[in-house]
Amino acid sequence: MYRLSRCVLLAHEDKVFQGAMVASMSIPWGETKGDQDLGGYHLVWTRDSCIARWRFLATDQTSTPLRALIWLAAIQRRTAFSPKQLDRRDCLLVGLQLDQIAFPILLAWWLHKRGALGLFHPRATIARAAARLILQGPVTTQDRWEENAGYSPSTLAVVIAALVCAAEWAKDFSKTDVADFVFAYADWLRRTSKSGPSQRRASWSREFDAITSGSLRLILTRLTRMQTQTQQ
Amino acid sequence: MMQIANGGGLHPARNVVGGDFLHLVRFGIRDPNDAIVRDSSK
Repeated sequence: MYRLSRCVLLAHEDKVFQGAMVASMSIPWGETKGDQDLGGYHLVWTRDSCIARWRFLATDQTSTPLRALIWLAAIQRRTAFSPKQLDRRDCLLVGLQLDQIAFPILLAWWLHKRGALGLFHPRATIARAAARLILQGPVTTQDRWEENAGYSPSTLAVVIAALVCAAEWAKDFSKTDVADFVFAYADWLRRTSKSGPSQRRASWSREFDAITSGSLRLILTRLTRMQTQTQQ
Repeated sequence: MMQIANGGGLHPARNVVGGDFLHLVRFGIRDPNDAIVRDSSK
């Protein structure tokens, strides 16, 4: 059972462009949909890629997750947006889901903690994603489930966890001011996600103004500089 | 009010939460016994 499950997961990886893994080879509601339907689950979702690769880490296999991370780093846009890939050339440019920006940070972190990154350094990928999460969030234009906009608990959870990892990473590189700010931001998100939905919007925007006045611009400039330095 | 895709219907936003709110527990952000988590999973 274990071996078979692992083989099924492995079979979802692209045989030419390694690291690209479709969410599923099946199509939901297959009795009414054909292979010509471009939607379905024959797409590479950043979120599903990361979660599926996480399972490989549980089997102590790190090469597949590392290939996935490199693939995700390669398709990441300058805005940190990772589109749903239809195939090697084409992608579906639909709504922005914040957790899809955050997930590669978590995957990188899991690999980092196992010392499994090899020669690949995901610093630019992480800095770009973290900056975008802070600039764009905490409201997501699409939730991971049925694609509704707003403050989504699941998206917030992924964003908070990813930002904590990004901050830890910044600390490892002695960027303590960046680390402190990202930690503070993640902690603020965690604390404010406690309030009820009705008070949430007002208190969030008020606290956000307080926390960001002055410091956000400075930190984002530094994050961007880190990213540019890495690219050079 | 919130429209849920794929024929899910129209519901008050406070009555709807995606099952992956459990990520809050998986990533260690909320305690599994947190009142909000317990109430939401009922």
